[in-house]
Amino acid sequence: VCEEETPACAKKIVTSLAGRVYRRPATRQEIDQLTGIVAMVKEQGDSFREGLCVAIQRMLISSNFLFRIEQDRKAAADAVAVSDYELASRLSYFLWSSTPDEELLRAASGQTLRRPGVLKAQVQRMLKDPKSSALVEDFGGQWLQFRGLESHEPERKKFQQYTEFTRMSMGKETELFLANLIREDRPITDLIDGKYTFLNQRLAEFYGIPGVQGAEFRKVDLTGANRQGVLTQASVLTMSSYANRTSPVLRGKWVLENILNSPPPAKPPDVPELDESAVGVSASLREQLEQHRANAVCASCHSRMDPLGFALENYDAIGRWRDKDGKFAIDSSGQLPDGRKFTGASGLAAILMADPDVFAKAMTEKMLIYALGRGLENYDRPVVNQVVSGVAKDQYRFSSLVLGIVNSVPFQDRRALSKGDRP
Amino acid sequence: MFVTRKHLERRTFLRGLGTAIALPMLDAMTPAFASPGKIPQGPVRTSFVYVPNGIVMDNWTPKTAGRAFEITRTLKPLEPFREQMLVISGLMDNNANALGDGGGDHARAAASFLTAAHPKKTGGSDIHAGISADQLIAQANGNETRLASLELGLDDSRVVGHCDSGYSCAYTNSISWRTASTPLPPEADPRLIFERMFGAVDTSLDAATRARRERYRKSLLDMAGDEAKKLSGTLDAGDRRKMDEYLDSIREIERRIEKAETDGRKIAPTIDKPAGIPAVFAEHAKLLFDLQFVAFQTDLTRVTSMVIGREGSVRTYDEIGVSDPHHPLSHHRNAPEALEKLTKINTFHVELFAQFIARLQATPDGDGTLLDRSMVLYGCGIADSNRHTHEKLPILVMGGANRSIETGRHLVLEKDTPVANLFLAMMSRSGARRDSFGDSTGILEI
Repeated sequence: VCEEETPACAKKIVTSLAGRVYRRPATRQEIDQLTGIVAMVKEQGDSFREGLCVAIQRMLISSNFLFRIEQDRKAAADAVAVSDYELASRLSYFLWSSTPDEELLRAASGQTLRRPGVLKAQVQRMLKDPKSSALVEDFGGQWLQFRGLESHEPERKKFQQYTEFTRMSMGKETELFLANLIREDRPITDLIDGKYTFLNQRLAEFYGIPGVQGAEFRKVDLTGANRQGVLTQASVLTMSSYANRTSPVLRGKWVLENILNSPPPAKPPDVPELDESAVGVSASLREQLEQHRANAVCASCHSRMDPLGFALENYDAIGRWRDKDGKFAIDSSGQLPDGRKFTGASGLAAILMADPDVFAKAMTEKMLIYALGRGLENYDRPVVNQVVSGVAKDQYRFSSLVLGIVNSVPFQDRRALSKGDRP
Repeated sequence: MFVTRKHLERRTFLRGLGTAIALPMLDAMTPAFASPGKIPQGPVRTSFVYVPNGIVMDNWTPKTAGRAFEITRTLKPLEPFREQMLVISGLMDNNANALGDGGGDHARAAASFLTAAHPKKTGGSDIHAGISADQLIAQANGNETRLASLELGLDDSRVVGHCDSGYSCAYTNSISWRTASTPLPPEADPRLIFERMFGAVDTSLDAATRARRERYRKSLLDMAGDEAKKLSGTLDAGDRRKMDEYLDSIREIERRIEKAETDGRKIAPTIDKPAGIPAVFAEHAKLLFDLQFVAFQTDLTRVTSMVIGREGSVRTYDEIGVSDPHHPLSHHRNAPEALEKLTKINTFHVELFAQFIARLQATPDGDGTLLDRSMVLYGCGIADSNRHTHEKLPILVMGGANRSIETGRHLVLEKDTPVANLFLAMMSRSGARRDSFGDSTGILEI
């Protein structure tokens, strides 16, 4: 901004920095305090540079930096639009998990951000920006839970192929898959039935897919392979297993919670757990669970969960293909409570794709929670439906999901103060 | 799933129409000062150590009451400290029972254990339990020490969402609660704990420069505090609570700086700065216990809590030959093989704990040892893990709290004595005396 060690230059520097740090233009009082700090430090015998450092410290412990503050406003209606600067922050924390860049702040200062063409262009620009990797890591990592791989510890003795490098590669596969989906603006249904993925040699060997050499990840066509979508990626298969074995119940629950957003109710108290030592030895896991389901109370939930999990039983607790569990052959067939039958992961994917809006709705709900930073309430239902129908009309493209959310009332507005409230 | 943002880990986002507000992390600003001094004589140090998923009671509880109690298999690692040990049988954590709330015994056990309150069943942000015993002790002693308290744990407490039958993960992550709505997530990273204890001070600077920097810091904190106070007036109640927490943390740092200046003693780390979280469970546990030991030794704080494993933990213990995940295993259905494996886990945890006790006992403090000055509770809010029972809990206290506890015995209580009665007894010995706490019915005589 400027070089000379003068009060005027100090003012220029702190004004420009504070605008970025506070995500809005600094007020006159704020600027006065910051320039005052630079002067005070100099009086104490420290350098101009030290003065700027202390002023920056001041900004970084300010509640205006540490908190994203949105001003309450009075209005006749229930809701009122947030300011353009506040909207810029909402956008950048949604898509980048970070502060707005200069271009966004410029659009906010020119009050052009809300123009339909401008908003759409900004969203598309932001999704293409490398900073959108935050959306992959933070949203994807929590939704599809690959972030949890760091603290998930499969039994190493049993799964010697599960090394640190394998763990890292697993997470990377799902990250790259999502990043590609965002960058190429692919349909979100690829997450269910996309016949491609991203592999390095380690994972390819792990999956039994020939012709992938070296540590570099690359896009791999899955035609003819027994995998598709994220449900057959090792990260998801590992995270939805116990340390020592698979669990059709856990996996079924995982699909219900994350792919269908229809979590089963909590398990009743005093339910006996599986006899671990018998699994794969005296009875197959499937037989044991079928005994469990013979009880009508258990069946009410397990008839929803278990078939989804059984479809994935050909993948072991770290996601490798297998035909047998212990000495028992895998039976990956299942029947939903409504009578529909399917077999294996591809059968599961086909069932999920029979009505893609169900998955689109689940993903919309998950992403809306992330974008708003709050749980959804009943009154959010129309918003969700509106976003889903927009996504369906646009061939389920990823950007239409993001744009639907960005244009929704809860993202654009905040609750207005009513008459009785404090200013 | 509930979604938060990794890049803002330590910050919490509020619900409400798009209101997002974040909690600051200001710990890095804690200074460590240099000037010689001495630890005051005789302050009682208190620690609460929690283990998950119940204990095989047949192998824990001595058959004999009183001074002639025998050391059981699970307690074996503590045998060298038999005379400093008080085993208590018959305590109950009734608030961990369903009381009409259905499943979720693990979450309730963890959340009610130190709070003696019945946690509200919710997976959302409206979590509610009660202030915990350790935090009441911290309030009473916090002005005396540089840190009011330390909360440690071996699990990653960034886990969010539902953790047990519709209970928020906050309930299973934390046993310490600063207020009924503010759980204190235990810190797992030894390096971060170290920095909280000793600050991130630049020792290459001369004394005058350091003093100037401290002055700057203090005025910055003043300015930030004033600004936050003004802002707080324009916020609604929920957001104002967040802002109050921020103001509290500013005041806490101001207090630490002042304390460091006025208590006039040098607190030099007697431990090397750890690099991060050790991969091996036992080493991680040892390091966390070592940090607590150092905190007590230097009187940096007088109260700590430590979660050896979160309730419902599915950790496997290959190192002792138990490859089953702990929680499913804990539903043992009285199968001898399962009970044997669980006992191995129980004993392994006690072994790790015993190393901590050994260090306290080996350290002279005034006319006794540091263990004599301490009272360290070890236990769980679940007794039998198969049926999730919350009475006849496995609980013991190590150390005499300045010879005010009659140790070296097995105290067998009337059935269903609230565990809160024990906490009242402990509070009365750590300067936080009060007459009632949660569902207490009186102060336990120990």
